[in-house]
Amino acid sequence: MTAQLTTTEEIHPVEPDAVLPRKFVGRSPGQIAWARLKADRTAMVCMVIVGATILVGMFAPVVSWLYGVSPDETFTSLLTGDAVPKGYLGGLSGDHWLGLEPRLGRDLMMQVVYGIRTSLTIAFLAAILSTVLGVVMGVVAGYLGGWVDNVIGWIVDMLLALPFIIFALAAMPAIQAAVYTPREAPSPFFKMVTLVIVFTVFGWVGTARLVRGQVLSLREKEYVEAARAAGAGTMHILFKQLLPNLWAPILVTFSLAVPGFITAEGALGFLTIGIVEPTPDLGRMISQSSNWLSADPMYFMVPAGTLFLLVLTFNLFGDAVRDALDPKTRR
Amino acid sequence: MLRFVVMRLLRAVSVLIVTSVVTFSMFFALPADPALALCGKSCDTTKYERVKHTLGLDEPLVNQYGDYMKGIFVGRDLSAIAGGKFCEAPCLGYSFEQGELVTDALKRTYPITLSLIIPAFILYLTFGIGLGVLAALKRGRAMDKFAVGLSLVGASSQIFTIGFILVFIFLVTLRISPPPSYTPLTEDPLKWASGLWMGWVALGFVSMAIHTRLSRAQMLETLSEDFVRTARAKGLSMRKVYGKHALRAALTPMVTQGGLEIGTLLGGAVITETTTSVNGVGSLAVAAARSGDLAVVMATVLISAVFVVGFVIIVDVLYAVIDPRVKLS
Repeated sequence: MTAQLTTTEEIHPVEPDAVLPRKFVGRSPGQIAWARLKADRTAMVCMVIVGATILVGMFAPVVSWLYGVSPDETFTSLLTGDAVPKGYLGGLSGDHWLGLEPRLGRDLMMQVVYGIRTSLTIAFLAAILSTVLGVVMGVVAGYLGGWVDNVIGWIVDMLLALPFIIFALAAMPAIQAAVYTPREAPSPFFKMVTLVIVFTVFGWVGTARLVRGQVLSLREKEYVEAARAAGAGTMHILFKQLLPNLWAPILVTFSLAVPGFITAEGALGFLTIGIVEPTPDLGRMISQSSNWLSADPMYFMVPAGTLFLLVLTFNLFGDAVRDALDPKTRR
Repeated sequence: MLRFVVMRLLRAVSVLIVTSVVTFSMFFALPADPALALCGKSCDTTKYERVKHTLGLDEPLVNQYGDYMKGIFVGRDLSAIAGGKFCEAPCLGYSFEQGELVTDALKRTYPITLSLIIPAFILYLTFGIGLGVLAALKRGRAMDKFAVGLSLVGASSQIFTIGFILVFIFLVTLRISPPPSYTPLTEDPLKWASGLWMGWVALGFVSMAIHTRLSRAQMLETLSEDFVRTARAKGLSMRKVYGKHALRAALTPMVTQGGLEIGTLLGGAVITETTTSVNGVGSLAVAAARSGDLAVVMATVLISAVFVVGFVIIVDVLYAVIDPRVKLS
């Protein structure tokens, strides 16, 4: 974090020619936040990295085409008799920038690129869905109060009481059994959808609590009273009057939910209840690498390092967004 | 106060009941057939039906659930399948995967998980809060930057990554640590600690981050409050101002966070146990969920739900004790 002090001049620069009469530049809170974000060097670096990672994930097939190797291709001829990649650092070479996977001899770089794709797809979908659900539940609970608030609060209590990982472990096969017969192998797409559903069901709670708290204080504001006096309906007040004033905290929770879901997806992959072969998955790669820790440490370091950096940059960016949006932050 | 506690308890009980119903009914979507698993090799239709009947699997779902819940409070006769044993009062059923009563399986594995969780919990709470408070007191200086950086790394790390790095450094490369294992504390404390320390550090480092951040933010906010300035102005020593006034006021959210983490800790224990191949309740639950062993999953989910719900109530009451401004309503 750069410990620079953002003075008001930086946000509202006084134009040199405007001596008399003074010109005021009106700026929306969004513009101010954007200006602050742009001034934060860490944030900009992270934003570039985050953007590049998203592009790599989205265009993984293009990356694969440019790189000249597909994720399923095996290079067993480049492995020794013990199934460990030949050469140093896990078979690092000009053709295989991050080396090879032991035993199957797949290209690690491509596994990681497609692993990022898997991870980001699930994390973003889960973050979007759980944020939407959380906002709707929070706004409704906070504004309507009464028994609606009680019911939602009770659901929140229940979800908080359930141990997520064990419940996910039990839920994944149960959902699968409801759709497929035991003999059928589920499609990768189905697994992905199941994961997103499980994450969404557990993930909205935090957002809902936050939004509810905000709405509780906002609903007493004069403008809401004015809208009500003017005869606005509940839906109008909820989504046209209250929601626009909530976008800052919502954006912050969203940007911090993404790395959270990346971690959770990695954990489920690590417990081998997430995405199944042949779809590349970072968490599952790490779990498989445990048998090769001494023979081929690169096999562990590549996916583990990727997962760490992925979560780190998203976290840093999320923090920066929060700092930029929070009017109380002094930097 | 009494009304508040009673209302909270009622709500907690209803949460627990629904949790158990959801978990119970979810399992009937599973393809696993416990009767077939228990029936063994020489299984014919009559034996299969008999086993199914002893397990109560031929009864309607509601009765099965009723039997299970009744078993928790008054015990249950499972002698036909559990080797002639009567399942004593907190009867959580019979695990066909482990081939023993669930209570026995839990008795065997809980000490292992507690040996993993409790030291890690103490470790990260102490270091996390300590580091956060220190960072707030030395705001903007090297200590603060170190603490913020460390908590960011911790928040971005995964338990299994840290665990494997520790294994790689201390076991594979330097060979100075014994492989992770569990020895009862009462048997050999040194072996107990040396076999579990990697798990403590991995679990602790990752969980520490949130406490550092939270306590730093909380402490900074408290330090800027009027009553701290007043305390300083009336000539109290720094030690007293920080230790007695500021820390106490900042402690409330930290306690909440700690209490709410019991459920997360169990999840963390699952990953830590898998990483270090120490087989406690977490591994038991994972294996059970994979094989559709309802009794074990049901028991683990219920126990951790009881803990979380209980802690939330305790935290709510503690709130009022720590912070006199809070009124229970």
